[in-house]
Amino acid sequence: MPPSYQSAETAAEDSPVSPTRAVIAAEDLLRSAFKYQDALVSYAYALLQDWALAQDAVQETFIVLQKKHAEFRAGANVYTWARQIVRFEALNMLRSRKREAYYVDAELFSLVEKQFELHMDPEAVGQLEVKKAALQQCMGRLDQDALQLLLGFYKDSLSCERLAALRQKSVNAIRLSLSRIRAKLRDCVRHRLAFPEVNR
Amino acid sequence: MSAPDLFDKFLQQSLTPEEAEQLKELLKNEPGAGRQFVEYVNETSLLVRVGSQVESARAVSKAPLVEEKAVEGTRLPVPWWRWAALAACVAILLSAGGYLAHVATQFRLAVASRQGHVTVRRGHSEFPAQAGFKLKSGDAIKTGADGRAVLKYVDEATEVELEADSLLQVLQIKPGKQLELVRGKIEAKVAPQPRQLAMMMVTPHAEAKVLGTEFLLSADVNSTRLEVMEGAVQFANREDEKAIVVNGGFYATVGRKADLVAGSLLPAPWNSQDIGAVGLPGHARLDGQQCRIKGAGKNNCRTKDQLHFVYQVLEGNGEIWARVVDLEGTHKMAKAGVVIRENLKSAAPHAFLFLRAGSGLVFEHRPQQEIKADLVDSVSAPYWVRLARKGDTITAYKSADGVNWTQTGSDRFKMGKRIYVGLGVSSWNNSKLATSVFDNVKVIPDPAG
Repeated sequence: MPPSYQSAETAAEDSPVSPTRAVIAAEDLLRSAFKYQDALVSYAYALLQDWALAQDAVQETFIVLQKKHAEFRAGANVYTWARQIVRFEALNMLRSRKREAYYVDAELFSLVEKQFELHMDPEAVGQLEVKKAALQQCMGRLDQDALQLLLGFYKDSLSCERLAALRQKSVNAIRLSLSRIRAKLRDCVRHRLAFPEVNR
Repeated sequence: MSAPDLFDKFLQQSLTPEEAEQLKELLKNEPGAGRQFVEYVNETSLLVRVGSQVESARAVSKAPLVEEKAVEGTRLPVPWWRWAALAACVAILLSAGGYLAHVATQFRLAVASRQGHVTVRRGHSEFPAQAGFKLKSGDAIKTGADGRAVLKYVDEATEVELEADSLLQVLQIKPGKQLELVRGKIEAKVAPQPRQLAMMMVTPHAEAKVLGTEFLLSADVNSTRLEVMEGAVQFANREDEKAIVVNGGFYATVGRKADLVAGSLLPAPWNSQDIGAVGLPGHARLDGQQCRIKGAGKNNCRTKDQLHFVYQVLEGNGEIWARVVDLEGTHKMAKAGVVIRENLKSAAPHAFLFLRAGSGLVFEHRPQQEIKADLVDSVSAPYWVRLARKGDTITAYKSADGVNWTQTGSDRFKMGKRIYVGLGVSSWNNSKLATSVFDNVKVIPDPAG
């Protein structure tokens, strides 16, 4: 079964809105939504599996939020509302790519959505910001070669085979390097979060 | 296959049908797998986001600076954009190799801040611009009479400030930045750009090619004016294809049916330069009747000064007046005021009557080696300041209105007949520039000499 294409308007109606609350200003709404930018990009990235498209989807989301701010009522959950719009925008993008023979596994799409609904709670969203600050410190110390490998794989979507050919290494060596870099960064972030006073 | 490997293949869109089934099973039936998946995607997303910032910061610090040996106002024999077009073709070919495409993906443009009425037009719709709004090629940003917006290229230090009543269109974000100033005024600070991807600024009359500099560009229906504070910009008349290189401290204008004209930002006999080992080069320009000066520099360390000095030579006795209209400080001790110096060396005997950004009027005087600084009032800008030299004495005066002056201090100096008088700005912070605006600047030589 294909994913359902719910409109942004419908998505807005589905959000927990209290009709007795006042309409909030577009600027205030956007300011609130920007706090969730990292979480929204991450969600879009999971749905689209393409970094540039994910960024575009979130950008479009902010435009929709701006245009439809009058439909949002103060007190409703901004993150939930914005996430529904991201979903709609992502589906729009997938639909336009479908014309280009882009394959979408509807069941997998639904499962991914569900995992984010279940596990991306306010605490997880908050954690993302904390981790980002720590990661900025850790990545600043990463050597250039490792950084380029990470970005080549995740941002530019170069396959391990392509990276192996470019770097004249084996595919396994590339996989191992990626895995080690991530583990090293994960350890660094964990250490910084556990001992902030040591790393200040 | 391990869960992280499956997640990676999912994010790479390279799952085989069997692996897709395996991932579905994992997410449906494996306790904890869903949370692990979300955390993995979040972590990857942060890696890309933060990694891009780190990489861009490193690329900017390593990118080559302008190397052309430019001469102010020298005509170039060949229209430069023909070379640029050739370079662009080469760049496109090179990008197939991957490097440039990789660099190009970093260029993103967003509204960093805005004041007053600012809108973005995208296609047929127009909506208010908000801070953080990412711009696309084709977008047009419009400021109203009370509007002002700062656009910033994400992950690098390039920013463009759009002043009131301006219209700017984003022609291209990548590869290579291209903006068109349809009307109004922009002030741009451009981080060093890759040589193959110089930033292009277009107006109805001119094209400017920028590799990294600070400049101001204004355009109306009749003419375009470029003022370069720092670095160098290639500036071309779109009509006759003639081009010049405009260096820091110079301006150029071009209009309909009018030749390119270049000149100094400060009219003779004014000059400007940094005094002492400032951390950032300062600059100055005339803005109508006002003189706008940016300067860096730490505290005057008793024996040596650090400031940006806009000056002229005075033979014998005379005085300098000015009103400090505004001082936008990077530190409460940033200063702006009138200066008299024996020479342009950092340890020269000098007198400096200045306002501090945090408030306070100070008369600083160093006749020989030991400096003295007297806090003479608690006023703040706008305020009038004046220094007068008569024989060996320099006297400081203050005024709230430029009419009624009060003497605030004086000291004796052994200076030669020829001295330097002018305006000084220092930021008290060597990594940032303080900006000060002066008006009513007068140098009055004593007719008796």
